[in-house]
Amino acid sequence: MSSSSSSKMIELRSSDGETFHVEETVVLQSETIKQMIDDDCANAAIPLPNVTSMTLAKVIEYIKKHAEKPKDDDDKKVAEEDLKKFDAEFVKVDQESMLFDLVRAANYLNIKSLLDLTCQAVADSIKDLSVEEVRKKFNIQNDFTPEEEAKVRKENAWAFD
Amino acid sequence: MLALDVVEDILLSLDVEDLLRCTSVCKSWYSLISKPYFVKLHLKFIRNKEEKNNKQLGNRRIYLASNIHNIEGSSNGLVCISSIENYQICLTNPSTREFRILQDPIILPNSNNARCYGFGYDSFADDYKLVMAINQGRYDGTLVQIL
Repeated sequence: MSSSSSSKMIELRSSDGETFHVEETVVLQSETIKQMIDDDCANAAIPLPNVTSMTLAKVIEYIKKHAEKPKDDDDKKVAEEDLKKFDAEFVKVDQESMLFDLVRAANYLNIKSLLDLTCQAVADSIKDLSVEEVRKKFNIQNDFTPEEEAKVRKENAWAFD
Repeated sequence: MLALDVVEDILLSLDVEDLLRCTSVCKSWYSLISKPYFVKLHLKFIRNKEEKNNKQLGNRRIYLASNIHNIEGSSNGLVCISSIENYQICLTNPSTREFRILQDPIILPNSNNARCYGFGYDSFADDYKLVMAINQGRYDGTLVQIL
């Protein structure tokens, strides 16, 4: 990846060993990486052992788009609309596991806007699902006894209507 | 499986009804959603979302069995109401449809029925307080109680 500007480039290494070069101004959206740069830990490639290359590529696509600065006020409105469309498309991923990976990565890299966006997308996808469907989606074992579960359900029975 | 802190981020984005249903997914979700700090965080989150999207959360309603009520005050989504029939005071959260009748205040025998209430959040105690002022018939004074 190359850049025409003179901004300093930061090297990121995914869990599967792929390296990505991203402008420092772009990558600063990640509080985690910002902290590393501030602590002077970013002279060599920054290892991101929790993020695969596939996920990291998506994250970089997102922060690059969100780093674009509008030139003037008119441009700003257009850019805002454009960004909304981009966000809506961004979370339409083919595989559901990718959305979870993005939530994990946004959490680990501490990119708040991406975390909000992806969490909202997951939340929207579990809206109106039954409890059994939610368990399946999150791969969770039910650890309630039948009696306990009945009791918990009774506490908020109206939410199951 | 997702780590609990990531799950927390996701659950914060849910509406109250979906969130309450999620309490029965598993024990760790139940305990997370029931924690006061999570409830506060969720309230903050929902408020931010409402402000940003300029819309109100729908579906906040609760039906009460007794008849006539006065609204004495509200704070952080809680509503304090009193019944005119029997002077019972209750607190309700229409979002979660929770309902709690408060303990009867101490009423001196000479008091007449003129009373008024104030309800609010005490940030120092991190709790809600209800203040009642009641006219003491014989002494022609007013007693103020914090309930």
